[in-house]
Amino acid sequence: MMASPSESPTFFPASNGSDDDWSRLSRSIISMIAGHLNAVDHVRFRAVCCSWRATCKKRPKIPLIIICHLDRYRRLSSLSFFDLVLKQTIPLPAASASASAAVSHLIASNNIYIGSSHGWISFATINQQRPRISLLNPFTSELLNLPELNEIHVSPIKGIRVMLSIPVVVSYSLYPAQLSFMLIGDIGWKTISLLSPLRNVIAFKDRFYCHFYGRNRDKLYLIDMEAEDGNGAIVPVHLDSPDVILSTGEGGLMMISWEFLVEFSGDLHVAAFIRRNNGKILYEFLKVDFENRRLNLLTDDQMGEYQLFLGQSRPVFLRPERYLDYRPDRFHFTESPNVLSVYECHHQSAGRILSLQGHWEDHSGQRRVAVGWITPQLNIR
Amino acid sequence: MVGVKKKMVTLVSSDGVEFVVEKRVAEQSLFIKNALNEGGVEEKVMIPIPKVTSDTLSSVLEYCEKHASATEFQENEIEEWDKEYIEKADLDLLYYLLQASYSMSIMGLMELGAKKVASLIRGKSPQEIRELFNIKNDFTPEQEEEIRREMQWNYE
Repeated sequence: MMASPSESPTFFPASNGSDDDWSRLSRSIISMIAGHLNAVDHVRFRAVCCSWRATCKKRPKIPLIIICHLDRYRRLSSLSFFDLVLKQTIPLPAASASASAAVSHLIASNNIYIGSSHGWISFATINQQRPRISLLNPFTSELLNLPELNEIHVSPIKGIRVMLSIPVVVSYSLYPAQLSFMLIGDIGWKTISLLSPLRNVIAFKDRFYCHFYGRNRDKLYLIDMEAEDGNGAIVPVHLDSPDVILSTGEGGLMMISWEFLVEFSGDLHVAAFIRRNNGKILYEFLKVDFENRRLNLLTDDQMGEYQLFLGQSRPVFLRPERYLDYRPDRFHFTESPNVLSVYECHHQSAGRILSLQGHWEDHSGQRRVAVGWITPQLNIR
Repeated sequence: MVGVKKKMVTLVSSDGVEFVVEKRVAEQSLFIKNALNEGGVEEKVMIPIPKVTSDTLSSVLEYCEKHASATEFQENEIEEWDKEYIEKADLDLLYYLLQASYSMSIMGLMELGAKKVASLIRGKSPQEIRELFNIKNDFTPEQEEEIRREMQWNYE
């Protein structure tokens, strides 16, 4: 290759060298760049400037699977995420030193994963009598170390669950049966002792609702933090059952048990096991009508093709796009910390729970465990 | 190279610098390939390359030269070469390479540049991306609100 200065006059005006306006890249180039981005980076890419946003289309969003990486001693060594739409692993933001520093800190101080809620992953310290909960937003790298919990916990650490509605944090444990809450920034927790443990807590429209294990499983309760001079109380929310659900089950549907509380299209729902006339036990969904103080049974039409993602503490309903292994009339959820499951409904295999993803191990003895779902929260708090 | 009969073409950058290259190298660009086909003239052909300065064109031709003889190399050798090639480009050059690869229709180079930009964006917040590429935030308050919701991963 040879280059030689042209003797003829310049054909085109020379660039002045400072017109590299990245927002005005050709559309095909912008689209090509966007095509190489994972789900999280794609959302951020569209939030940079008008031309980038106008050029690349919004992608369908579904929750991401949280993957814990465990070393050969089964200790947490890292985290990553899995996108079921693109079937792609999303690492912790590698470019961000603060994200890896936050995770290394958590690992070094013997933390284990205990759940995820509203885009935050909760961890708790092990080998300590008074556990300390930390919250990490893996996508903004924010790390919140909360004060120690009040009571000595003798239960396995995994008995602790955390539910958030920033700035309120609610934590509850199976044994001792209790519930603690605090505002981020408070110096300590407020604790309510319970007669039986809570089965499920959900943040819905800035309030917390729950139901219990045992006798009070099929009743809705509100966590009223203002009650008892700000020490909090759990108060029942009286709701009438739909007429089609009979307590005896003769000729109608019979309530077996409430399983989860779920938010769906801006309403609170109860996911319950209900026995049908033909004897089959299926998941049905009851919408909470707060105004008329009753529960309404959702029909199959109202359910449409929505999918249920039940994380350990953040269940969410959404429309399935084109993702892995999708079939209508299936609910995807995770109840056990080690397995993501699929519940088949309204079909021959009704009532069967299938394992979607378990854990897998690579040659170095690193083990990867799918532990739950996360709804990313990319805004800085 | 002298003595061996090779078909040469002359490319002229936007700032008037002439580059004499082998036809097979220049034809890595579909834009040039088409121009040559349309012209039908084989010898002493002069092709102006609008909007591509000599600095950029020189780097583009380095890419074209390597890829014109891609068959002589193992696939991973080419991959390694591409990696090093794009690694040494600074942000300004990267921008001009992308625009040039687009206007000259060199898909491989465009893909390579786009991948590099994607790797720079990975894990960064919108503000960090704007700072890196010197981009102005030009959203209206309404769009800002829409973006805030999108960043909360609303499922619609």
